[in-house]
Amino acid sequence: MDSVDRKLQVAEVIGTWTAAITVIIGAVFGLYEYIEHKENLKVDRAFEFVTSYQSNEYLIKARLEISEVVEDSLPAIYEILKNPKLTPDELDKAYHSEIMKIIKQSKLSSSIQQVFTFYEQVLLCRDMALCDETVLKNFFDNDAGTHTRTFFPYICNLRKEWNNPKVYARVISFYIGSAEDLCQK
Amino acid sequence: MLKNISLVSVLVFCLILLTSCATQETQKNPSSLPEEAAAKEKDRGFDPCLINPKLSACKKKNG
Repeated sequence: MDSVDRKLQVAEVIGTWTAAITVIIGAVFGLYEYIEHKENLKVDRAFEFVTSYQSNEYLIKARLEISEVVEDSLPAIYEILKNPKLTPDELDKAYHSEIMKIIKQSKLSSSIQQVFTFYEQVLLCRDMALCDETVLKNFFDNDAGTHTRTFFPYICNLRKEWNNPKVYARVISFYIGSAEDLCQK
Repeated sequence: MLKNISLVSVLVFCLILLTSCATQETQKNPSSLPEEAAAKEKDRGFDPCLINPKLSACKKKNG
């Protein structure tokens, strides 16, 4: 009789431990699934930006306009950038005035503003950790980086015109760095 | 009673395991897309810093 009781006790203990371990493993998997689900949401949000960037007709039009104008203006820009006689300050001033001249002549300001506003939204999603970093990095860093470095004189000009030093601050600080002294030149 | 709880727990565990495997499988396809597109995108774009890194915007980036 004692032996049967003991066996029952052992079986009960083993059963309890098995159940407890199973529940713990289940909970760990549940947590893992929840984290995975959150990551998937981030990827989905990032891809919404990608889709918008590649299919929104206004954005596409703006990007095409910018590309065409830059391509047409390359000889003039190259002439300034490749001039070995210019000191860094002179280079900045010459580049600034050339970019502003190109934008005014081509009436490119609304297209640039549209594209930079989009980049700001992308960076906001990135900063708030709501979008997947890798997707945004791979799809936007090249375009947004080159556009920011190319058109930073325009952003500086906008800041002066609007008397607002925070214009496109997110884009400038992410792709160039500290913007305050950059625009003071 | 204990047996039933154990059985249900094991079943739930197996169900979670299967769901997890299925999710992993569906994620395999979209994950390769950004890399391919990124490789194409990288070749595009005029960057003044590649021509003259003395431009103040380029110094900020490097520093």
